[in-house]
Amino acid sequence: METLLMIAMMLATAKLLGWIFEKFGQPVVLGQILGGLIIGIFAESNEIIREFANLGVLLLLFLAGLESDLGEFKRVGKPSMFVAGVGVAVAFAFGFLVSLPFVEFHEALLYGAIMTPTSVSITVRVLMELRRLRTREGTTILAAAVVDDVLGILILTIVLSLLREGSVHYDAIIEILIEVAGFLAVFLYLGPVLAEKAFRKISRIDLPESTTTFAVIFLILFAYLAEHLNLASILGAYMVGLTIGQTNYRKQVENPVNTLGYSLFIPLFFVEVGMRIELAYILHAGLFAVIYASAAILSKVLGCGFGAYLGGFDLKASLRIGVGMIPRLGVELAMLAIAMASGVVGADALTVAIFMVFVTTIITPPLLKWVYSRQ
Amino acid sequence: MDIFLELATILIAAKGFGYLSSRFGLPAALGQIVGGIILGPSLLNLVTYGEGVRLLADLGVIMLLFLAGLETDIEEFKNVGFPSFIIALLGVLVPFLFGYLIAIEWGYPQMQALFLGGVMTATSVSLTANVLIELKRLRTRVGAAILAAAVVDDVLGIMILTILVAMNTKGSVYVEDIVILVGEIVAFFAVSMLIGSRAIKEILKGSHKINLPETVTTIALAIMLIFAYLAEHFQIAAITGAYLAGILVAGSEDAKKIIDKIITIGYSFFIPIFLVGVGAETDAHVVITAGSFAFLYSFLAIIGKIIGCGAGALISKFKPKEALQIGVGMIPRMEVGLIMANIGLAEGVLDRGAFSISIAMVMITTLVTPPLLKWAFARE
Repeated sequence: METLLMIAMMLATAKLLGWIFEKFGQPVVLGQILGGLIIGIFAESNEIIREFANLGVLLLLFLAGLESDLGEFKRVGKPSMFVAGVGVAVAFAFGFLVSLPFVEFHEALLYGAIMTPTSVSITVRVLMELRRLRTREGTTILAAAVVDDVLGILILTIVLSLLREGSVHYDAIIEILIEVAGFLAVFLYLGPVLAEKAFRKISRIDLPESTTTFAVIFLILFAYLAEHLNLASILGAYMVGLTIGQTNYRKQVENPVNTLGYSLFIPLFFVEVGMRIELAYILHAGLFAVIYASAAILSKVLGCGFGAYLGGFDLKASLRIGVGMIPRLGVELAMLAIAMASGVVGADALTVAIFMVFVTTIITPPLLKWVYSRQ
Repeated sequence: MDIFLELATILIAAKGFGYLSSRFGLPAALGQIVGGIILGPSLLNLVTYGEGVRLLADLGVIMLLFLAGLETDIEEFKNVGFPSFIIALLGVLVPFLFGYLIAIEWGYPQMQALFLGGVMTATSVSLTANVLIELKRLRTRVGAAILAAAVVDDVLGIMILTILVAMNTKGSVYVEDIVILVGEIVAFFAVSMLIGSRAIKEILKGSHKINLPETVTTIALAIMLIFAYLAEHFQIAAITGAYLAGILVAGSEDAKKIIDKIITIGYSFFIPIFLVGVGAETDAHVVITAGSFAFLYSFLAIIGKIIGCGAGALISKFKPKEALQIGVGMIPRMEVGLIMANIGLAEGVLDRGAFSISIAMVMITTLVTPPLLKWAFARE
């Protein structure tokens, strides 16, 4: 039952440090990660708490999906394609090139791949705090992050199969492309209608909180499905949120899921992220890690910013989008786990990648607040 | 199976079977337990309740009792202080004698018979709390009496367990062990009541300054978890600690808001996982193979609580109908009974056969309680 005490501690720390950081005009998330870092010195996270944190990521992306409106999503479709596309290409190139002097050719490919996907959960929180999520920039970032996940995972899959077999596995690439296309098509065109019908049936169950429970069920099922199709689970969670957001049940789902998420799972997630960062890693990684992390930041600001500019945003908005696309978190760590499980990389890659994740997540909130304060 | 898929299965089963059950006029909880038996290892083996899901279920029962504490009418609770003591005391003595005597009669050795009596004493009130919330009867004098008696029952239960284990291992009971045990528990309650309630009020008031989303709810949850942990630390059940936390938080200005939020969090996710788990974690085969003594034993377990607690309630000037409601509410044994049976098995007091009989009793009392409660409360 030590876990109960641990969860209580993590919750209290999340709110307390979040509050202190807010007092000093810093993002809440940063305080929560720092809180996790401090707890991490005394206690270690365990498998169960990690499951909790995973549910937190899913709920966060679900809520983000629920809050984006699809009309805007369709309208920004083109610019977000530019943002994601150019961002991924530039990040991959940067990651590959800066790694080349330090590691072998095939490992450098992997370092490039790990740098590609953006985890916007932190950006989402900051934009919510600043009340800028439901702007054209906010939706573009969210939409781009979805595309960018897909592209990132595509690149990782290609690189992994390349490393394993010595040649690109064409079947796998085609398979993933078909799956992604199918996934998006089903959600965007059939999703809202089916969800509306499903929720009408579900509302006949007169047990407490049934609508909320089924929203959570759909969230979990589609996250699982996405994971199973080799896409990231957060993609599934986001799409379910987006779909339910198009139905009349949006408000009925949004409030209770907000409660469920923000009172428990989401603060736990951010604290848990902090607990995973090990200070010793950073000291050990040295020059390569610093260069790699800088490349991670620059590549997204330049790449995504340029993409946004191509998509018709002005310079200031392009910069904001570029900065919003900096953080790497969930997908990278999952990708790393996959890469390590397949045996292509060892713990040294973990060191470097965790440092990169650390720097990008720490630097994004203040940077984002700064670019938004320059009116 | 992947934990997420298992969670989805559990949640769908909870709402589906709960809905069916309420369509037949039965409490939703009964359907959810039956759903758990069907999905669990007894039949389909679709859900296994591994470590992760287990914690979610534990949090579910903790939230259930926290909610029961929040919903308890404090004035009623103060009024039923002494009656609940009588109810719990008779509710422990009568089943203990029943269990012990029938086991002796059936030819069990002395020590084993004492343990079979002990297993019969441990009421676990979570299921009753859920049905009372469902029937909207928790905020009554009867509801307060049941929950208060359950707290006393928990303390008496741990005393009996300690005495039995000491008798088995050391051959005799050291009075100072019991005094220390009870002293610690009483000190825990006293400190919580005296300092805890004021501290909690201040902490909750202070948390208003933190304008992050859902801060008050988060802090209330943290308080609940800490009390559950402390209760286990003092060897009483986590749910008793959670109930205490609920009563303490109920005294603050935010109680109403916190109740709504905990209902949302609990009933949308954690509590259904707990209720399905009650079914999924009982092995239905045990009941079938435990033999005729198991049924006699279970029958006495049911009658024992109704007579014992009912008599206690009558002495305390409850009406006969209310006395019946209180007696029925105290029937379920569940996890506290299981803990006792497991300790008995681990200490080598209970043999496999007697252990399965205890498990069968736990399962049967769990299944009969929801419909019996609904029946007892319907006769108005």
